Amino acid sequence: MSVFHRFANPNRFLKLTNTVLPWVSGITVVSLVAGLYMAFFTSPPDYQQGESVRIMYIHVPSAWMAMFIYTSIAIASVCSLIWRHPLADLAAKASAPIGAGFTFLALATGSLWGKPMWGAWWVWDARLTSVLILFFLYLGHMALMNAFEEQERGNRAAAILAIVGFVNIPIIKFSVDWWNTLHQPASVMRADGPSIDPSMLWPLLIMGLAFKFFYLAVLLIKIKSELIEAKLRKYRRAMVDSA
Amino acid sequence: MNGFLNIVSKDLRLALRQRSDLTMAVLFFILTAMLFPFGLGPEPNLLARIAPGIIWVTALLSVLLSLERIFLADYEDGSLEQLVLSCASLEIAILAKVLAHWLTTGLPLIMAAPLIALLFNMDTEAITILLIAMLLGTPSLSLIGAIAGTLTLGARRGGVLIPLLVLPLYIPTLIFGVGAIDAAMNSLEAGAVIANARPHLLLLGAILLVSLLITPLAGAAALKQALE
Amino acid sequence: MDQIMNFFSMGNYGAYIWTAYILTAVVMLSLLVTTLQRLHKNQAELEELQQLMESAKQSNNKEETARP
Repeated sequence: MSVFHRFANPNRFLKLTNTVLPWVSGITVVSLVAGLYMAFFTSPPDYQQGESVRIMYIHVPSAWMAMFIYTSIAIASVCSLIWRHPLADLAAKASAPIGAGFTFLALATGSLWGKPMWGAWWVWDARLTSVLILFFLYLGHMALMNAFEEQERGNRAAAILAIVGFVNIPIIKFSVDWWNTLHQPASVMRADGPSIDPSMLWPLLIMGLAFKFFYLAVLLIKIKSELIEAKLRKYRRAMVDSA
Repeated sequence: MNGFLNIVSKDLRLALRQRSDLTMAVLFFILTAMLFPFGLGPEPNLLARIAPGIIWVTALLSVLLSLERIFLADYEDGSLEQLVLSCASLEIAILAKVLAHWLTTGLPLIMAAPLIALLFNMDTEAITILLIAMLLGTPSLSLIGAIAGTLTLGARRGGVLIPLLVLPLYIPTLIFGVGAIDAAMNSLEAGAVIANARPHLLLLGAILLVSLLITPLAGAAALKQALE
Repeated sequence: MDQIMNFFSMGNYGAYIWTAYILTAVVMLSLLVTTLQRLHKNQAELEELQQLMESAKQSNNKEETARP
């Protein structure tokens, strides 16, 4: 809790952001370049899927981020509702568009991978449907957040929605195990260790790292921007009052 | 307990007085379902096969139409606050509101469903399963819808927001509701009808239990901040 | 030359693979660019406002000192 409250101070948070941001951006760029190089040049074509397997290096990290960001929003929402932590609201608000973007990418790249492999752009199986639901949850969260005159009410309503919608996350995760589906079962995050070859696992993990740091970088910039906006509002109000 | 019954009976009396609300949902249900034979052609086997999906989708849309009125009218004229005060807890008040909504929307839909099923040439066994599935499924629709109803209180364009919030959450109910009837219709032996539909019905029950748990909590949190 | 062509054709999956990668780049870049634009706009406004307040304060002080 003490660490938590320490960064509740906007100025302290801004200072922290300014020192951390160059590092986060640097890691993003380096891991992105390394991941892309490995994805295209050192990883072999799949013995079944041929070269099309290279879509995996963006599809799977996008899908991880779609679920990871939603989970972060749900956690931030709990913090916002219980401790009324102002930064939690900002984090949730800033995360939603990024999460929606990655969910869209997971669906779109999956579609581009599915067409040559399954012969269809889209199939109505459990994994695809539940990710589509996740996409609409993101959109609903963003719409609800902006639907109120007072930002405070939008934040709380969206936080409640995010927590309710969290039931979808385990459904997405386990949908490939519970239902027969065209989608492949998990091959990295399994209890008995990853089942894919290291030559493919490494580029995948590095791309995952790159996407995660990209999210962190954009998130920090967005929160910084929101904090400046809050300052602007405060100044404007002060000017109106004094005038 | 008194507060609970008060809310239910007040809402029921109101619904009976303004019968237009009550009949709107059912009329919408029947009329929309009636459009499909014109759109898809009157071939009896085709209609029987797609009937479960059509009945569920139209039922879902009819429920959607009535969600806004669960809380909005009371919120706007200020009586929501009194209702909440008269009840032992917010959670109980919400459950009462949901029960009243189900009695005035879900139940009439269930009663109208066999009529549509007959028009679509479904057989009696499938209709039985349809009714059981709707009995288990429509309360979940009211419960999930109530969350969206409380969340959008005081929002701009609340009526447009509700479908966006609710429809994604309705999809599981739709899937298993239709699945139960499809499984029943696909079973060849007479005795296997219930056995085939059972897993789907159990999942519908599970959804009902989960929404019974989540709705009072989420709805109470949403109402609290709406009434602040 | 052939090697380059081979690389871009990706065993005849090129169209799918490159579309996927370009789409990803477009979405991620637009997220980043819109965020940065907003930040710069806010920073510029903040600076402007701070200068305005600073000059308002100074002119206030002048008025007070001018008064006998």
